[in-house]
Parts: sequence; C-alpha cells; structure tokens
Amino acid sequence: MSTAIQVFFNSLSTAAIYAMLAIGLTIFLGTLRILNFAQGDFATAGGYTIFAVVTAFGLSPYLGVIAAMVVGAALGALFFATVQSPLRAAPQINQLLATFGLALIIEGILQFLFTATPKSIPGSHGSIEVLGAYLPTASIVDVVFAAVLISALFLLLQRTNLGRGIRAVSQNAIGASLVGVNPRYVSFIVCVIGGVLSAGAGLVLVTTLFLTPTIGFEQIFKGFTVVVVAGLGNLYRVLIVAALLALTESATSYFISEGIGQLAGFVIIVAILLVRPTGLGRVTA
Amino acid sequence: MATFRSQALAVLGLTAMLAAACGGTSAASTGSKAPIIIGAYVPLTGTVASSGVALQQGYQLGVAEVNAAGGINGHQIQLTIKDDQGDPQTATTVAAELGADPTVKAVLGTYGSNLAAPSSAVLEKAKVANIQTLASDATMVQRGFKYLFNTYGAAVTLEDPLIAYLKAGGIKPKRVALIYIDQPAFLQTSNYIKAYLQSAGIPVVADERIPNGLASYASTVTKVKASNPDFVWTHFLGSASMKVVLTDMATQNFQPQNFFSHGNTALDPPLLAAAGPLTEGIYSGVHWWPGAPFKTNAEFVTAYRAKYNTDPSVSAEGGYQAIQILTAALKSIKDQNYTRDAVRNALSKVNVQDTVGGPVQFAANGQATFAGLLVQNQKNQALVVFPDADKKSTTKVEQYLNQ
Repeated sequence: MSTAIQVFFNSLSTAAIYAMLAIGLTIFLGTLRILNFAQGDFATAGGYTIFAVVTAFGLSPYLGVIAAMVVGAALGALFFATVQSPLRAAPQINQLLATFGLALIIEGILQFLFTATPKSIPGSHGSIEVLGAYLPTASIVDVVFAAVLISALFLLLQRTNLGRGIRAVSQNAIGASLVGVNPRYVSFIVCVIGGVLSAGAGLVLVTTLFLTPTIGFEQIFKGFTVVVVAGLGNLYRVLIVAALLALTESATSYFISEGIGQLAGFVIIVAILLVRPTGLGRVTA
Repeated sequence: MATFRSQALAVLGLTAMLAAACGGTSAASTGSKAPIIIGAYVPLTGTVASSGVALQQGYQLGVAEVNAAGGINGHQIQLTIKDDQGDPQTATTVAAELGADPTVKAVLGTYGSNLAAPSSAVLEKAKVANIQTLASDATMVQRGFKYLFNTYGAAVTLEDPLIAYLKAGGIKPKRVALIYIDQPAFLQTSNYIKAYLQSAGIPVVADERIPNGLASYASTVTKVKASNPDFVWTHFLGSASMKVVLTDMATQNFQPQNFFSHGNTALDPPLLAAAGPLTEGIYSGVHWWPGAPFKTNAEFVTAYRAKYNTDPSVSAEGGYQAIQILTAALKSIKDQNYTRDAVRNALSKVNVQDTVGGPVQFAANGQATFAGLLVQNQKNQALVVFPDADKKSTTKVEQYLNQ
C-alpha cells in the first residue's frame, strides 16, 4: 500500500511541470492556432529570473516567481510583436519557423547573460510521512502553485468579459470581431497569459534540476504530448492527461525501469491516438 | 648656424631611424616567429555545454599563460576553437575541418567519449595529433591509432581505489545497490565493480540503469530503498542527475550507510552550491580535485578562480593539463620545425612530471598514466581517505601515483 502511495506521490511534481507547460501551449494553440516552440524557453527564462532574484537579493524563490511571471509577460508580448502579429496571415510553416527562431534567440540571450554553467538554487528536501510513504513538501508547493494558476485562468476564461472574448476568438475570430471583440487585443492578452504560465513553470525547473539555456526546450515535448492527447477546449482535460502521463511514467519506472517509464507514456499516447486520432477532445466542425 | 642645424637634424633623423630599427627589429623578431596554430573543438552549446565551456576555459587559461611567458621558443600559440554542439556528427565535421587545415599543427579534443571516439578517427585519417582530455571509454585507445593521445584514463581506473579500500576493510558493505546512467562507459564501470563484488561474495540487491537528465528519479529511489542496501554505488553523467537523485533520497528519507560516486560528480561546484549538505560523507573515486596536491595545481586553481570567479571543474583541469603537456612537447622540438609529425613524435615521448593532474607520460597506444584516489566530502571539502588518510594530502599521494 505504501509503495502504491509513494509511486503516486512521486508523480506529483512532474505532473505539475507537464500541466503548466501544456496549459500554456493550449492557450497559444487554441486561440492563436500557433504551436509555440519557444514555450519551453519561456519556462527557462522564468527559472533564470528566479535564480537571479534569489542569488542577487537573497529573496525567497516564491518572490522570485512574481518576477519570473513579469518576465514571462514580457516574453509573451515579444512573441506577439515578433511572431503572432506580423505573421498571423502567413503560412503555418513560417509561423512555426519563427517560433523556433525565437526559441534560439532566447536561448542565446540566456547563455550570454548566465553562461552555460548549470545554475540551481537549493530546493526543499522536506517531506511529510503519509501512511508509510513520503510526500515531498516541494511537490505540495508545485501542485498548489499549478492549481492556483490554472484556476485563475479558468475563472478568467469563464467569468470575465475578457475570457468570453478569448473563447469567442478561439472559436471564430471573424465572428468575434463582428460582435465587438477586438481579436488583436485578445491575441495580445493570450500571448501575455501564455508567457506568464510558462515562466511560472520555471520555479519547478530551477529547484528540481540544474538550469541550462536549453532545459526548457528539452522539457516542452512532454507538454506537446499532453496537448495532442487532451485536445483543445477543456483545461481540466489537460490537467487529467498531464497527471495520467506523469503517473504512468512513475509507475512504469518503479515496476520496470526509468528508461521504459519515459517510453510508456508515449506508448499510451500513441495507443490513444490510434483509437481516437483527434485525441480525447471533442471534434469540432 | 645652418651647419649646426643640419647636423642636429641629421642626428635627430639618425636617432629616429635607429629607434625605428630597434622597435622594428623587436616587432620583426616577434612578427617573424610565426604562431603555432592549435585547433580545438568543444561543446559550447547543447546539453553538455557547461563542461565544454569549462574545457575551453582551461585551454584558454593555459594558452594565455604560455604566451605571456614568451610562447614556445618565441612562437605564440594561436588557438582556434570550434563548437561541436555536443553532437557526434557535428564533432566529426568540425574535427574534419581542423584536420583539413594544413596550418593546424595539433588538435585538442572535446568532452565525452561519444564525441571523442568518432572525431578522433577523422583526425587519425588527417594525420594530426589530437589530445583527448575527457574520454573515459576504454576502447578509445584500442583502435591502433598513432595520432591519438588520451589523457583521461579508462573509467574503471577510478574504481580501483574503492576496491582497494574495500579489500583493506575500510568499508564492509553487506548489501550493495547500483544506480548509473544507461550509456556504454557507465556499463563498463558498473560491470567492473559488480565483478569485484561477486568475487568478494557481496550481494548486489539493486541494479538500476537510468536515462540522463530527468526531472525526477523518485521511482528509482523508491525501488532501491525497498531493497534495503547499506552501500549505494553510483556513476552519473554530470551533477544534474545526481542532484535530483540526492534530493529524491532526502525526501524519501533514504540514508544508506555509505554512498559512492564515480569521478568528480559529487565535487562539482554547482552541485556543492545547490545541494552541499546532501553530499556530506559521499566517497568519490577521482584523479583530481581542486585541492589535489600536485605541483602546479594550487597556482592553476588560484588563477582560474581569479579569471572565472569559480572553482575549476575536472573539465577545466583537463583542458589546462592538455596545454601543459602540449607545451612540453612543443618545447622539446629543438629545430622549431613544428610539422604535424614532429608534434606527434614529441607527444609520444613527452614525460611531464608537474602537470596539475600529476605526472603524465603516454604509452605506445596513446594512453596517459592515470590513477585514482578515494576522497570523501566533508563539509564541502574533499579529503583523501585512501590510499593515504593523511588529511594534509602530502607527497605520499604522489608516490602512490608513481607506482
């Protein structure tokens, strides 16, 4: 019993990373119809911001997260100005290449500012014993943090005029403009929100791993996987798929090996897509 | 008056000509000695960029010091560095570019056997001496190459101090767990230690191969903890994975009696900064560390700290040591005719007693002398445990290395 509980606890921080990256990707893809290769680098930039705040000012990493989210917002605005706005009518391949180019630029700037020497800050090593298993306190923070961000996003989308506008544009930009929604303004806000969410994921990166300029890019493919399977339109489905992917990896890693654990998640994803090619989301006309 | 003025002008003119001639001569004397062009390729970008940058820094610091001291018999060393991006194909390509450049007299290599092995084959074809500094795969020097000089020994060499310590009864493990990265060099070391454990009748209760670079190894730690080992043996690629494992062990309250880490991973400055308390008591099999007692090491560490504001890692040490070895070889070429074959022949005969990593001499297969020590992290310092438990690390250590 305690082993099963431990395996579940082991998956929590990973699920939080996947969820935050996937939610950011969902926002970009659902509203702007752009697959943003620079999303992971927003997380890296967020991580480096937290590192800079902690080491330069001796502040708590949680205060550093606020600075990271400001940087994420700025990167989102940069994305709007350099990719989304000038290329919104361009072929998708051009847009993809532009996001890839933005990713490389961000990585280059981070390497210039921080060098390639790995950076990290001491993370929490504490844990709470629950029924013979150990729940890391860092995992509690990661999950709560992700839940707060995602809940805030849900409330924004469901309960505010801005959120209604975002949903309208994601369904039909022309129709939305006909009823008075400014698609350009909405696109800008979506870019900023996506940047904020992804940069927030930097908290987990900097406390768990060593930061290098390419670390976020390496992690983003799990986010893509979650988005592909969960489909667009339902944030909670994204959360569930992120959690399932992390739990599958954790369980397979325990019962077989870490290498097979990394593979297992993808195997299940492929299996789902073979049965349901559009993923778990609703098929829209 | 006019005569005096003319004479004065003539004296001034002559003086100016003489001054120009002297300056010109000194300029010519340095300008007439062509620089010795040395190529290098390191991963400045990609997943192992941190090690590549440190390696580059070691090269650059060494070359700067040699040039500041007058170069090699008046010839300055000119270093040409290319980025292999940590990718084997790119490493092969840039090595081929350096090999095809006839002005390049020798090439300094990269980080890791997966990059060094294929690229050194290309350099062998180009018949240019290459010094590989961080390639621990034992098969590197089993290919019959004449132009390859490998300063880093087979990884298994760093297991010998641990094995000797176990034989001497320093630690008496009853149940051993192994955690290591799933790559060939790491399989070599794990098989080596497993062979000893089997011969000594010590059971291996867990044997976990892990991919590098994951954000969590919690499940592996859960499994290893369940096997109840009193000794955990590890071999990581870089300290990032080690940090994650140590953190996962701490959160799951898993504290084996003894923990061993192959190589300098547990002494890596970024790891000590981020997770120093978690490394307390860890044993490491190393050939060098910043506090190592070799003759020129203290000056190297001081100079590196002053220039780069951090302690050198084993990558930086490897780069600096390669320059020391190359310098000694180049200086031994008496006729100063630095052809590729002359450089290669000089390297094959070189015997340098005072490198930052101890004495170095190459065997016929290109492998340098290389030996290990067992150290233990105590309050973020590495203290020699075996073969000489003298915490001051005296010359007895060097005597061991010369055996």
